[in-house]
Amino acid sequence: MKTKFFFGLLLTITLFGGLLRLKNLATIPFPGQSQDEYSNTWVGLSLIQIGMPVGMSGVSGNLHRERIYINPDRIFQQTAAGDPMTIAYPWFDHPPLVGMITGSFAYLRGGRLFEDATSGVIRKPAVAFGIATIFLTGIVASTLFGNAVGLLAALFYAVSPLVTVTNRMIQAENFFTPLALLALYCWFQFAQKKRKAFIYLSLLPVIAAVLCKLSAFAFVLAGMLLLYRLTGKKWPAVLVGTAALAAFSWWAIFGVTLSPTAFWSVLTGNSARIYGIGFQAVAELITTTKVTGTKTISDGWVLASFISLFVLFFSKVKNKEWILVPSLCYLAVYLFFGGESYGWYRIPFYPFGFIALASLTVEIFRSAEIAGVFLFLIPLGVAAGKVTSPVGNWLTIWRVFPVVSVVLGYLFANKLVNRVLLALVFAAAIVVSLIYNLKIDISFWYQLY
Amino acid sequence: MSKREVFWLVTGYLAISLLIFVWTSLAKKQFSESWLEAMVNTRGRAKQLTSSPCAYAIAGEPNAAGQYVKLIVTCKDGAQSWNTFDTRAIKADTLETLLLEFHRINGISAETKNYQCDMDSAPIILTSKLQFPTTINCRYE
Repeated sequence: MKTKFFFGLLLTITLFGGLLRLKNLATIPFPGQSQDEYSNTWVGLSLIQIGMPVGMSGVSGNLHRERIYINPDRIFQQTAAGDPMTIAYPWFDHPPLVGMITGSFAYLRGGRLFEDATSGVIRKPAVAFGIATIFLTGIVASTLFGNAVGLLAALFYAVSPLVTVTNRMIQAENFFTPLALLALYCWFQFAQKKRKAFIYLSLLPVIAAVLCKLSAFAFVLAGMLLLYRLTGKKWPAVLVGTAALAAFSWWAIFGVTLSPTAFWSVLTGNSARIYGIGFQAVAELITTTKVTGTKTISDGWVLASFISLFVLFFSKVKNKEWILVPSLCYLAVYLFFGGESYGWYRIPFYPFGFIALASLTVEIFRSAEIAGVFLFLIPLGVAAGKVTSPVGNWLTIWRVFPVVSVVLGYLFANKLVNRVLLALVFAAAIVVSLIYNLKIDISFWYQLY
Repeated sequence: MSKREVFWLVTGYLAISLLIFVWTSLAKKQFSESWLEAMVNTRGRAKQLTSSPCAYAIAGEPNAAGQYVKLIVTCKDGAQSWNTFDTRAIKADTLETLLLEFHRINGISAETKNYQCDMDSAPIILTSKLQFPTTINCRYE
């Protein structure tokens, strides 16, 4: 595939994904369903104006804690359950970079007060990072597995309804995921071309990712393992690890300068958080599609992506470890840190899952294996169930198509026929997912639980 | 890695560390409780004011056993606003300060003197001291 054509298509997919994320930006998820979105922005707004990070905190150890009613987006008339917020300062629950990004954006848009942090404004940086993730998913996938895989992976990330909605939220995972992808791209280039510049370039996203949230250490660990195993040299791995520790130390310098007592007690308080994610975490990760702690959007693409990850684990595809090691490292950290089963903790899995799904999709088309129809029936069926009722002509097609596919696929065993059938079901899954995306509005959101 | 590279990396690390220390030390001096209070308590630009106290209510019930105040406002047209406040989260010791908090949170531009209120069925005035938990019924004229 020609480079210009590839980039043209990738940019089109990225733009399209961006538009899907911007639609209903301020309303879905409902403002206040995750009050972290406000808190993250308040941290930045307060840091910029009064030199002190102030945000909501459930962690004990903060020096100053205060209950208060703050009502941005009129959340106390909508989603707030009636309890006031608890704000704390100095706020050290997480490193402050996400707050600085969203707070700076709100500040540049004229926001000075906590109530100025409205969803319509503050979610835009999160969407910008979501758009960057679509593009980088495409770039990483094409670098590892070829342009076709790159375009498909970006397409899946762009149209998955769960990802579209989750990408709007101001959660650290939306910010460090593209940074992790960027670092991964640099590490792969270093492993291939042995140019030091790529290692040095990777340090910037590594540092930024750690300053978004400490769980980004998962990708640092992945990078260190990959670099050590695949280059046979220790120094690149040591340098990446040292950069992550340097980022952590800068956060510590920031915290200790503001208040050593508070920084230490929040750090220890964070480590004593309840392990609410539970033993069922892995099964839930694969079988449920949460957006927040309570709201769930059905999305077959995510399930198909996890199935594909398992297929990739045991396949002999070249470069597969560049997807598997980061996925497994993040899974390990997800299980280790697992506070609660919030939907946004899963965001970093999605690009890797979709790259695996794209790789499997290309393999299915290449081999013209008719069984692939059943993989695409997962996202198609879930999305179809949300956009049309199970009666009439569509139901007839849904019931007949698998029978026809199996009979034709194995009776004639003709690659062209099989590819046509695969293309039909694949295209239907994409189109129906787009319609599903467009249907997710306020009325639809009320029906979710 | 050469020694020269290590030197530059260490120098860069120390420079950034120093920069963070100096910036944070200076920024810390900017902190003022009153500025923070203004940031937290002032009505945002996007929140439109309403002149009707019954237009909005603080929905839900706080987890505040024994530390709540229920404020029920009835307007001339019969509309009502039911609110429950956690008293640990509001700065209100009199009826007037409670109504001002109610106005601030819900974005209401109304005169406090236009309320006629009862506390636990006994009439009270704006300067009356409140004792929690309690229920206050007001008519807005």
